Amino acid sequence: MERKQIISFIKRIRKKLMKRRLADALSNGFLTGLTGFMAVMLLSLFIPLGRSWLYGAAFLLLSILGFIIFTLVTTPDLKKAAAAGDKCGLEERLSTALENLNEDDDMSLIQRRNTLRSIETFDLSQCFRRKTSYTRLAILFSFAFMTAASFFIDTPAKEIAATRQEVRENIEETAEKLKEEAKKLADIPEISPEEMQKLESLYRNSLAEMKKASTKTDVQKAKDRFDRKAMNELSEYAKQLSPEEKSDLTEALEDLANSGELNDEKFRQAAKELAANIKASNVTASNNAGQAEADGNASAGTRGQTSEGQQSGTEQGQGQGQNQDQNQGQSQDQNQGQGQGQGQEQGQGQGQGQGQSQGQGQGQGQGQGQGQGQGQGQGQGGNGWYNGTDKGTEGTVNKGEMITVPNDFNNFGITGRDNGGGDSQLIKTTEGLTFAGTAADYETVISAYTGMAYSALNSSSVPEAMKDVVKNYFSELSE
Amino acid sequence: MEEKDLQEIVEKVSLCEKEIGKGIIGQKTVIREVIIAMLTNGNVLLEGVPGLGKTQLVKTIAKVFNIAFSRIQFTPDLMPADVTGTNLIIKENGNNVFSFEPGPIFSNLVLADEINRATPKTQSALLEAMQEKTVTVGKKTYEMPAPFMVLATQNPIENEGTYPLPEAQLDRFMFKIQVDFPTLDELKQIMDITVTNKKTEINPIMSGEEILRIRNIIRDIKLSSAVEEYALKLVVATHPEVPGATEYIKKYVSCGASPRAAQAIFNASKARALLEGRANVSFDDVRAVAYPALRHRIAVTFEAMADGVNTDTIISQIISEVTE
Repeated sequence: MERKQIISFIKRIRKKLMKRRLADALSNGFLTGLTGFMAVMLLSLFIPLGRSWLYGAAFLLLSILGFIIFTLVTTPDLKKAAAAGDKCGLEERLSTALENLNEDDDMSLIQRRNTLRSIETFDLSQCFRRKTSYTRLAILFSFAFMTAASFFIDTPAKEIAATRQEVRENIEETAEKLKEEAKKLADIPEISPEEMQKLESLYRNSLAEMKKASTKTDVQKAKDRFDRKAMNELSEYAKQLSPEEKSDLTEALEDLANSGELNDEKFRQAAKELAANIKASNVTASNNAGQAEADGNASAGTRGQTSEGQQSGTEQGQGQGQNQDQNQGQSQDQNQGQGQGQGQEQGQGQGQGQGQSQGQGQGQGQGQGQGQGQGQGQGQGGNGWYNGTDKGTEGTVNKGEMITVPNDFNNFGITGRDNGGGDSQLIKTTEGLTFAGTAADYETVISAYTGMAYSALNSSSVPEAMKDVVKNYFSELSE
Repeated sequence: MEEKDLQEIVEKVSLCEKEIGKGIIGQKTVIREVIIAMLTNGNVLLEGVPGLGKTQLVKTIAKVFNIAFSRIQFTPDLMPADVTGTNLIIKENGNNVFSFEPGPIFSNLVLADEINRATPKTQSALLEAMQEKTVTVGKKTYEMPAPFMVLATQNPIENEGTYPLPEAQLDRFMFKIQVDFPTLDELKQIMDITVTNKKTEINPIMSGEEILRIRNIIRDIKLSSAVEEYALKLVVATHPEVPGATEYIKKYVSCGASPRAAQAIFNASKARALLEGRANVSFDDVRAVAYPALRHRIAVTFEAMADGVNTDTIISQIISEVTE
């Protein structure tokens, strides 16, 4: 009888104890968490900490949870509950009774009865009553006030943090778009594995570049660069394809552009344009033969290399022109010629060069597409690495390609890029590099330089002001 | 045995204390501690300056508990035989035979007054009686009457011509009780009963048999494992050589308490619990008896003496450090 009553009493104590421990855990967890929250918020006033309130709130929540979990895990057993009851004035009666619960000697019996009599008059609620700690309350309120106040105080550190946060979000958003685009491109079955690898490498480089960006503009530039490079890469790739394959690729790109799954309108537009260019070039290629006649006269090179330029429009006309091209410090040629031609040219390209050109011509036409200038006009062209269009409507000539040529290059057979219907010319120079260099396109070189420059910028030895100068320089170059 | 028996004991002891209080003004803790020692078969060393009523206390206790009392005034020329008794040659049936003449130690309550004034040899005469409750004279061992208890007194200030008790003998005292100077009110009351013709009659309350019965009951008082562990931790904490000893103990204690200290704490705390009306020991009981049980068993270092740290300070420190 006494045994049951004693055990039941100890269980009641345990229940009360758990309640109090949970309340304590909540209170301690809240106080600890609030302290952490306040510390984070105060730090954010002086140190740029992005989403400081989020970290503070997470700390608060974790702290409360941690305390509660710990309390639940360390639920007191009957022995501990008895000890807790004893501390309330039962003078170890409960602990002793619990230990001697199964003893039947006189003293054990007396002890249990004595315990029972004590617990009958014992006010359990009084024992486990929580006393309000005004000091704790005061601390709690002051911490809460300071935390709340820190929300409304604006400091330069907070502004920096906000900007950084915006950029970070922008990076995430743009990277997501980039990923989506790369995935969509990867889904095009017409693209060969080798080409896919190139695109993948391009994606990775762009992503890395994007993650290093410190402004939204940088992020957008990195994204734009990827779009442009990817389209260029695909454009180049398309040239190697058969008309049927081109047609498939065009369809795939059109599907991609029209699918609506891509969020980036620019990219969709670029894909659409690329598809149109490929389609047009496909048509042009079939009409190309016999569409153009060229009659030119050139002092040194007879006929220059057809530039990799962007031209749109159907060219038809007659013209006379005079070109004066100056290649980069190597030679200077003057060409004069007359030509007549008809053709369609559509193309897109990039290059860089120096040159002077003069020309006259007339032309009319319409067209769209992408490709290396395959159409030929008539005219004279210099043999520099920059080639102007000397006949017909002047297209947009952007950049040429640098080819490193060794002194004795006969063995290497470098003839420049095959321009389809045009001729190529070999020029032997005595100056320049004396070893067999390798050809690298401009984008690769600039991309490598940009990468190295950006890595170097991470070094603390570069002054902050100069970092922006360097970044701007490379940004402008890649635009 | 019933719970009411316990209550009866409590009431009786309470009556005893009240009766002793008639002859001894104040000193309630001292009285309680002496009774605890008596009920647990222990010996007590009372320490206090002269004139505090130490001898009077012992006499009163003997009267109240209605037991035989003898007093031995220890002096430097006191011989062991003066304490234990000796064999005398007597004529018996016309023959000279040795006959043992018991000394004053053969009593229920022995007051060894100013014990530190006797030589170590004489002090040692008490050893066997205190621990084994026997006295050996010649080839014969004599049992002490039960109950048997030695109440020794010593003066802490007059050290000249004294022989400090050896550790072995000190350890045989269950308690060393400090008798403090009475308060102003107590002093006034002392004056009232000592310098006037007022007579205070002290009545016997208990008997030797009852003491023995209570001793048996006390042995059955329950001690929970937590309390047991706490008491043992207190004893272990007095040792500077054990692993985990605090810097304080290492600095101020040269030798810690013996296992007898643990026995004393266990027994005394049980008795205290009974006198409080409980059948189990509490942490408070242990703490309360720790001072008289440990203070003469802790040997302090020279540093402690130099810093004015006494054993009571050390015990307080230990109690504050050892967790329940």
